[in-house]
Amino acid sequence: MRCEQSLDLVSRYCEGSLEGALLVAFQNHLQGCQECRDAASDMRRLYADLSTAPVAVEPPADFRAHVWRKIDEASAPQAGRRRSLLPEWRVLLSRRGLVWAAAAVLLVALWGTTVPGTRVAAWLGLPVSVRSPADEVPVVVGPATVHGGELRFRLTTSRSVPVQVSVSIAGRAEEAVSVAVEAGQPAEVALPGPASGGQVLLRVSWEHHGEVRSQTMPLRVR
Amino acid sequence: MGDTVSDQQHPERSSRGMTAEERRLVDRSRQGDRDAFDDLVRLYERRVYNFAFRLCGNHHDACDIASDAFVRLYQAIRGFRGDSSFVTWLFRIVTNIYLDMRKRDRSHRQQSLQEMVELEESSVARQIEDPHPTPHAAAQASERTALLNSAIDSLPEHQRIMVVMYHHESQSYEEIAAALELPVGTVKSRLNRARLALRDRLRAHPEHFPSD
Repeated sequence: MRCEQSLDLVSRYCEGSLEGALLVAFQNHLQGCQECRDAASDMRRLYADLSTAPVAVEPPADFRAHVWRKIDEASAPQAGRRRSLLPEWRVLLSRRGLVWAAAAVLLVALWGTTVPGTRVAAWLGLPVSVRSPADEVPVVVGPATVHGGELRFRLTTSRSVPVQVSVSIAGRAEEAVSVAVEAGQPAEVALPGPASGGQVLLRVSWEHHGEVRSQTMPLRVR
Repeated sequence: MGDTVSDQQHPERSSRGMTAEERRLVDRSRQGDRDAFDDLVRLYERRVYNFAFRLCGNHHDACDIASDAFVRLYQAIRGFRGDSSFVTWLFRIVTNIYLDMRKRDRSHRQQSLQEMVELEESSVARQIEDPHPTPHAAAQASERTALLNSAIDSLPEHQRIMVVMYHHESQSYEEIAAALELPVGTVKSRLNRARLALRDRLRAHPEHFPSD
């Protein structure tokens, strides 16, 4: 058996579905080939790594309502849709329509309502919005700076809520502060920052209907 | 010359099927019962959302893909005859919606969960909903996980979908073949190539993925 054939069979070998003469030939090849032995050994470890379930994510709290909105929109009568407030495609495709569409796209991007928008906003030095997965409390973080050993940033939420912010820096006990954030009013947060560059973990927690929600964000400090 | 991995990893694969309750919900949904369909969404929303999230890597697109999948399911469920398993059919819908989205937006760049967003002196990574481990434990595990996620993200589209379906969603080769409408042999050989490619990528990081 050549190495090429052996590598074609390595998954089956690891899964135990290689049998009979093929298994014997594979094992004989492995005995004389360090490279394929390594491949089989690495492959078993890879199976173990991949079998570790990734952290499960939760759909937004209003996911089913969102699905029903889409279903109802999709099944609305054609005539009803014609009377919608949305402009017709002909208008959108006119020169003026395209200018307005481009402006709208730019505005959306600058407000940082989406992750790519966040990047644009960050690039322009504007506040960066990090949405909570369920969208129930949009938490705005930014711009983050490190001055004099202090990590500073601003938080705002859509409703007044006590927010717990903690920062974890390798080799140091976790530091936490509680911040009372008023709806729409940015609250300044200062926490002990890293002495030098590296990665710190920032955790923002808040209460939602009696349940503690949290977001963890790695911050890479230069 | 070593233990095999399949039996330990997927002991329930051969017996996977719909429960009586799921079958009842599907049957009632086929007759236009909205309450039954709502229960069906409730039953599968987490699984569908997680699958979508692992394909696209972000909550915004995952929400679009998962919700569109349920809309398409609602529109098509009357025609579901049970020729393939319901879950296989649902996964095929999710996969097709994801691939359609990718086709529509070729400029869309795959974003890893650990991708950093530049931000003045610092940078903020994309959010990770992670209520369980402590931040310190998360820090220790995050780099290894990030490397593995990044290696998976770098695979060709179909190989990546197969890796997610097999290793994260515990789908069998036969279920993946049915969902992607490919011969089982093709799925097996592509997955083998995908794993070898992952192994090559991870070997570049011996500090996190040491060999014997």
